[in-house]
Amino acid sequence: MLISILLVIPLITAIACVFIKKHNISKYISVAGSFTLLLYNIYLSYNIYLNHSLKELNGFFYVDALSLLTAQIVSVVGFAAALYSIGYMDAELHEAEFPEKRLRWYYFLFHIFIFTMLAVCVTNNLGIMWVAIEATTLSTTFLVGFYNKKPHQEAAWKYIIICTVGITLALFGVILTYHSSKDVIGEIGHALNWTDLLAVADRFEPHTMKLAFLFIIIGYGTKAGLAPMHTWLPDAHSQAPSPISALFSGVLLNCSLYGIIRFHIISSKCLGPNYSCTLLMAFGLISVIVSIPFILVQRDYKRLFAFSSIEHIGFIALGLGFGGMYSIYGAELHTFNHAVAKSLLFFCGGNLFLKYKTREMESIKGIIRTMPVTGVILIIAVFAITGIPPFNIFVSEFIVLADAFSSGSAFVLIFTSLLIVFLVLIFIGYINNIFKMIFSEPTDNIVRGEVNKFTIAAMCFLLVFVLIISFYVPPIMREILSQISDIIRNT
Amino acid sequence: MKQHIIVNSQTIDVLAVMMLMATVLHISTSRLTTCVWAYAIRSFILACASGLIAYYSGIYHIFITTGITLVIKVVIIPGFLFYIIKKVGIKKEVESYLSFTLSLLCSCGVILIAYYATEPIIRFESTFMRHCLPVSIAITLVGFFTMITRKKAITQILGLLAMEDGLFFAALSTSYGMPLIVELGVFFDILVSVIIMGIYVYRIKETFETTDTGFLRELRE
Amino acid sequence: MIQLIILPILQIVVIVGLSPLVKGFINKTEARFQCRRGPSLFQPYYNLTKLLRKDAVVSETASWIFRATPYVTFISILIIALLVPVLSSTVPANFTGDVILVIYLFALGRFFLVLSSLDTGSAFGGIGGSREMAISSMAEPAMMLSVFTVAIISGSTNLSNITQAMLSYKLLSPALFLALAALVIVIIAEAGRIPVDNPFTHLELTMIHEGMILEFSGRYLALIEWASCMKLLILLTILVNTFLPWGVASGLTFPGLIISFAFYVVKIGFFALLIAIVESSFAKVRLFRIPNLLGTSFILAVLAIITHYIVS
Repeated sequence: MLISILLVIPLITAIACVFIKKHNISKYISVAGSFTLLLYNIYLSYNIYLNHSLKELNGFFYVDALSLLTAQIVSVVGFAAALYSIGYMDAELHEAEFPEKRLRWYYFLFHIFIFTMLAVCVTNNLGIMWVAIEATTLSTTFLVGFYNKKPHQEAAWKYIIICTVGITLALFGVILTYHSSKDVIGEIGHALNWTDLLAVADRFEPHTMKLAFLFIIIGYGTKAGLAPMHTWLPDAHSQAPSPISALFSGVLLNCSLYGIIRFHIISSKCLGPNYSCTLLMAFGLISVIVSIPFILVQRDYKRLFAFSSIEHIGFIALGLGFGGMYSIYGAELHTFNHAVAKSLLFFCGGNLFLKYKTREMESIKGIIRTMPVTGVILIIAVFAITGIPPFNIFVSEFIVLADAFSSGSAFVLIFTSLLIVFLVLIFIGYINNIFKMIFSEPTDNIVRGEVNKFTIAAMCFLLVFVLIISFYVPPIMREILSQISDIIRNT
Repeated sequence: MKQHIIVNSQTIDVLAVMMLMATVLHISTSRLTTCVWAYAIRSFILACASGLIAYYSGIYHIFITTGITLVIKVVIIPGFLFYIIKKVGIKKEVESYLSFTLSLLCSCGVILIAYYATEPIIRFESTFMRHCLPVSIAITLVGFFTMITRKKAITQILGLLAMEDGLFFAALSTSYGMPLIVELGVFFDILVSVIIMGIYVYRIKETFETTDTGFLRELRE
Repeated sequence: MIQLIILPILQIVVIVGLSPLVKGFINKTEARFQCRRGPSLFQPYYNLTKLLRKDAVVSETASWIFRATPYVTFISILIIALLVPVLSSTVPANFTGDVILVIYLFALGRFFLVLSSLDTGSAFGGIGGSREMAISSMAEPAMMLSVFTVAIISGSTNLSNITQAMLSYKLLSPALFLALAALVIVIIAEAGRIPVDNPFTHLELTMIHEGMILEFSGRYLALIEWASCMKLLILLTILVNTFLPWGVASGLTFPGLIISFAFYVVKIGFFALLIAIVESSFAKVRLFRIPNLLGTSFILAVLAIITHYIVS
């Protein structure tokens, strides 16, 4: 029952939101629902912390430290985004950007989105995981095209077409995995259960498994935003409402990456870690490289943040690809850090959009004067996301890079040195772009003052996480991360 | 718990080739409605093949997937696409970035690649049903190819459906379908994604006054 | 004795005698599909006898080619009739040629027809001729490839041996199926039926075969019309007796031939019906779309050969 309740909470919230006609009530239901989810998830993680893993419904659900971390990110960022949505959507509604009755569907789809992402994390069946990842695409298409104007429709169309094609390729990977397992497991009901597959993965047919993992990394990689399949990502992130962009960047990408990691573990056991690690490193490095020029020349701040997500997902893939114990530890810590820091950035971006009504960085001036709180948080978030000490992303990047350097392999050393050069370039791109916006003289016609208190509350909530991890990783988190490291290294 | 089922049927091979022919019809026709018909025909043949495989292998849950295939892929989705074409008033001609002859030749090449790529795998298979894997990969690749080269939004949907058909057939012929619950989920996803895409075709037509996706070029660096 | 005298006579009687009936059958069926009563089944015979009785008018500028063309066309088709297994897998002119000769004899007839269409200097003739050549340049490779698929499977290019081999080949293999589909499309193009060419129209912009024979009259026209009927029947015969050789007698006994004839009539009737259905349910495609159709046929034929090599 423990895991099923986790899925039921967002589902009930979604249905409640759609049936209550007044959005003044439904928005609070939405926050209450996601807060309950957050609390319940903490309770669940304590259980996992004690038991290491949990199975339910005849092995249909399976939660271990790896799924727990992803689910935790979903609930933390989900709660922050629900809180932020109130402020953001109220302001947008006030400007009459969309009809009021559409807001009901916004909250409905929002919670369905959270439901599908949680389903990705807790299901044990790789086929159902595929269905859930495809369902994340379907539930968010209307959110990407929420304002229903030309650019939004374009972004939504690109999003659904590219992601669905990618995920269809991943289905082929799932089919091939199933095929290669059939000779070993046979024709039984839970033939696609990850735990059952992992138990016998060393006897799979290696050629088919190789092909399967290739399709998986291309397919789910499309959804995770790994270059060169990332082209939907900047469009969707920039056109969706800001809370949704935050969920996309912080959580959705991690969910797809979670899918890749599950197959990575199986393929490592079947083929040895080299094959899948090399693929992860290659896609990771390509993503980091591809994002740099776009970050340097970007004019639209939401697209800037979107490209930075590609870079960070690339970095996480690299960390997983290095394959050392601490680099995996660091990479998983990085997923959490990136999720909170990037969501924070998107919230700042949302506030800027509400105030200045533009996404052009050139036309935004003097944030620190007009919106002091947002300005300060923006500075912290930018420092955090570019990996400046002492902030949280510096911590996780440092762990990964240090482990890579200590591994001693020349190949990895070259990768890592290149990576550091790229990180410096990205830092330059950010500082150059963002600091002009923050510290210049404000134009006269802008009213000073923050947009509203809900948005600030959501930002402060995430800021707490950023600051805590910067200085201190709690022991329960450390334990979970090292458990994840063991799961991925399969020791 | 091991169970080895071997289906020996030349009929299924012939059905596979007929699906390939329906795919060739999909590429070679210049009428949108014929494309949808080609999809319906291919899905129907797919349902026949799946019914035969269920019959020969004795795995009865495949009968359920056969039934769902018939309802969703042969009736609902083509019907919905016809409805969209009529409602949106899309021009009946298929438009492509490549000339027809060139795209025919390209897809012929793609099909050959599928055959050559699977040759080492199928060499060890039993004599019959050796056409199934190359044909399913060929359909998938051709679907991908039409998605890239065709301009209209609705032809991209059709390409996607072709990919899905190919993969479905691959699963069916290599491992007698996936577990039933997964199949149900996949069907549900396909149906919902087609409906959402259909809605977007309608909206894009409303705002852009065309369904040519070449006009979707506002978002770029 | 039988092979030398009776079989050639039998084949020529069947092909020459029955071919107008096939045309009549298609016309009648189409009329029925269009809810008309339609002309009699034997109308093509009446037309031919009427034309044969009439004198031919020949343009003053026409050379000997124009006069020779009807005979060349008719005789080349007649020779093909001796090379194709009709009732028995044994072929009268077995020693002389194989399927490649058949294709070249078709080409010979067409070549003369095109020359004669240019000969009179009429504008429609030129249009028809150039279109005919363009289409045949695409149809021939597809036809050769699909016939070669069968030849490769049976290990011989001799039509008699092919039929013999196919008789022992119990089921329809995927490669044969693809080749069959390719050949059906080619036959429709070669015989000038809808959707490639409309045999009933004399609209100047669409006609192909009718454009070429516009200048012929009287007995010349009769010969050419008859030859085109025979061409359709021969193409159908090749189709049914190589791909679906059920019931074809392998020896030369009298009851065997009777059964074989019955099967033959049924199979030809089926395909004639198919043509009638296709003709009444499709519109003629635009001239620029014809390469599409034939390209499809070509690709099916290529796939047939490739699948045979890779999979079998």
